[in-house]
Amino acid sequence: MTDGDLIHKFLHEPDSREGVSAFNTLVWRWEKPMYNFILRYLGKRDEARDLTQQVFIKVYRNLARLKDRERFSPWIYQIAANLCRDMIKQKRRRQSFSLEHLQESGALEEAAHAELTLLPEAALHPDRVVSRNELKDILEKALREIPEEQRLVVIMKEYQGLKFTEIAEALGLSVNTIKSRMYYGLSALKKILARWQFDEEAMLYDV
Amino acid sequence: MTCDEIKIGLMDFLYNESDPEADKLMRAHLQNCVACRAEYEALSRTSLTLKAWENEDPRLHLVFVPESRSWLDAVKEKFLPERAPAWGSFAGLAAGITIGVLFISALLNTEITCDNGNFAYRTSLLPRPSATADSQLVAQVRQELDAKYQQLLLAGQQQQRDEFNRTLAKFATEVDRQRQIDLMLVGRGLDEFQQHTNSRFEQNNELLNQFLRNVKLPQK
Repeated sequence: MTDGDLIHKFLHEPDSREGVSAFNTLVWRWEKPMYNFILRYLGKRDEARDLTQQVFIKVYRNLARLKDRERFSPWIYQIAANLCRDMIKQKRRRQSFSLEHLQESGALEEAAHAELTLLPEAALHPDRVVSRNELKDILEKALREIPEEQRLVVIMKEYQGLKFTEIAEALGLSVNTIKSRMYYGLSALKKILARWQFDEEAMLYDV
Repeated sequence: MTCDEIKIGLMDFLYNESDPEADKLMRAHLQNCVACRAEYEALSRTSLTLKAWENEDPRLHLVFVPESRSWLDAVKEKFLPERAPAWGSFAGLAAGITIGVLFISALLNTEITCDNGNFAYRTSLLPRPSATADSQLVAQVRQELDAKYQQLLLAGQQQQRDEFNRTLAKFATEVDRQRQIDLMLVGRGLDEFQQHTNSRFEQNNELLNQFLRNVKLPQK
């Protein structure tokens, strides 16, 4: 049964057992992709859990407004991306407020020095074989290094497997802009991983 | 196809989204251009590396539960038929409007007072009687003010009249005094004229007497 069929069933009989079951199937089907998309974008598990729930609440409230039910995938990613952006904006506002306090107290310089220790351990020991968890940490940190709009496209393409047209639809941008962001994002990641002397050989050893 | 144009096409090629024609062109270009081939291979390796980050199980197990109905809906279902008659909707609308009017009226007749630091809040559906008392007080104050104004106006007029009378009396006194002075001067002039005339008469008499004494009248 496609997403479109489930949506049709739910919207046709929202109070019936079949309708509820259809919506739950939709949630069950999209729960993992949504969580992993948000996790990779924001980098925090608790935030990813909260936002995943918020995504489905929004889906439940606005599903009737979805005109083309076969375009559910770009639509749900659009909801998730918007929620993530809102969260990032909120965090920035809070961060700028706390930075003013840090500047006043002179703790900002100490924080700048402390940032050096945030580099992945594998970067300090290039010959070392990395574990799966370390690899995930390295990739997470590498993704955090690239601009936000490129990161979003890279995640949607590499991990969610969306087509360029679907990403463009979800983000409301032209396909060429998406491809351009993908190219620059991937190139930046290539340079970052090279700077950290990290390549696919390291992970092959682990496997 | 130039190396600069390749970037966007390279993305399609990398993710198998290019059409057969573009795919053919790209393959030909990559076969001939060492730099672009190296770029493609590096990006391909990066893409492969990124895919090593596997999905996590969120362990959320979200389950959708339909929203529970409000008590109002429950009452409606119990007591009202499936389709409410037209009069029911009309009654509901009328009740809503009445409640709205009463609420606005209560808001309009709300009064907050502060007496020696004690705040008091009062509201009523109808205007409070004190509102009438207030208007009476206002009317009374207005009457008093009118009376006071009339009183002040009369006093001003009286003062103006007194001032005019005083000025007039002063003017009359001054005229009288000036007349006295003029009369005195006229009297004095007349006295001087009389004295002068008398002395002339006396002189003339003296001269006539002297002449008569000197003149010898012819003897008869």
